[in-house]
Amino acid sequence: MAAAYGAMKPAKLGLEEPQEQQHRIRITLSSKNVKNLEKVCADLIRGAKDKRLTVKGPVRMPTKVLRITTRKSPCGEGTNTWDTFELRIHKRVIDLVSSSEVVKQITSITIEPGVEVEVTIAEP
Amino acid sequence: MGQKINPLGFRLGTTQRHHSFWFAQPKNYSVGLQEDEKIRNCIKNYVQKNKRISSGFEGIARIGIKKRIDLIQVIIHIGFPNLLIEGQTRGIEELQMNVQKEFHSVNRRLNIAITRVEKPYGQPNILAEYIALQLKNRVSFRKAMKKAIELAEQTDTKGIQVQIAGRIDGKEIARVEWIREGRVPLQTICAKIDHCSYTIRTIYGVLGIKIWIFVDEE
Repeated sequence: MAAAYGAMKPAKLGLEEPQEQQHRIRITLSSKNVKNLEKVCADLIRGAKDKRLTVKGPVRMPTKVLRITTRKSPCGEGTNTWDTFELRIHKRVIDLVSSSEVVKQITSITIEPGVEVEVTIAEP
Repeated sequence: MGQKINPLGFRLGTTQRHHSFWFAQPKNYSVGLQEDEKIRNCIKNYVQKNKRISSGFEGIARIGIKKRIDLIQVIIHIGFPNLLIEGQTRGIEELQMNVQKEFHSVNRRLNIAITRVEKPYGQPNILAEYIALQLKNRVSFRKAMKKAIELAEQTDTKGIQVQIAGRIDGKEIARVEWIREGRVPLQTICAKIDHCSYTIRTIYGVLGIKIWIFVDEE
């Protein structure tokens, strides 16, 4: 029964939808600086909306602050002053529902230096 | 010296940009850093090896590196680009080959561009190399400093400060000498201050040159 049911579904889907399967695709953007990141985000969302895909808007993950705290002094003498250096990592997540080819098109257009783009396909 | 913070690092958020502009996850960050270091050393060694004797010194003001997924873009800001362009762009290609040999990475293309800096004597790196040359030729240090300041003044800077530290004139007792022209407000964050620290190796030891140039105030 399950097999029959399973066998029926792809046939139906094949008739209704185009050949490529729609996947849920998650694009993760990370960067050190916010301006470029927001620009790439906006470009991606605009590109996706132009192709009429369902887009779950940019979800802003909490910024990770990596801190390194060191003594300022090269020797041990003096009042104990400390330097804290930080690196802020901003992360945005965009969810789309589309076929993988369209996604490749969209992501190939907008690549800016300093922004890392990761695309994962969630198997339904 | 203990008290003064590097003016470039102090202003990173506001008036100063990073020279290397890329992102990597913390796991792969060290690999990226080492690549950067290799590129910079390669370029400096190449320019130093191939400089013509007549022109004298290299004049690299800045090396900017931008990395994308498939492309590494290197922009060399150079003051006297004759050295690399005279060879009919053979120089740039040779550089590119050299740097790519260091790399062993097939994934990323390398792109080297050369920009000419207008007013090369307004860049502290180039000024420092000029002073270094003079000192190597046994010119009196005060003359060298004054000449450097003169050159910088010709290029509209609002202030410049030059400091030389170490065994000046080969004397046994090391000291620090500095000259300042105009105003150099190190505490003002919105003041654009360019800084360079350069070492020279002489037969007496190492001399350190530091140059602060006050360019603009926003």
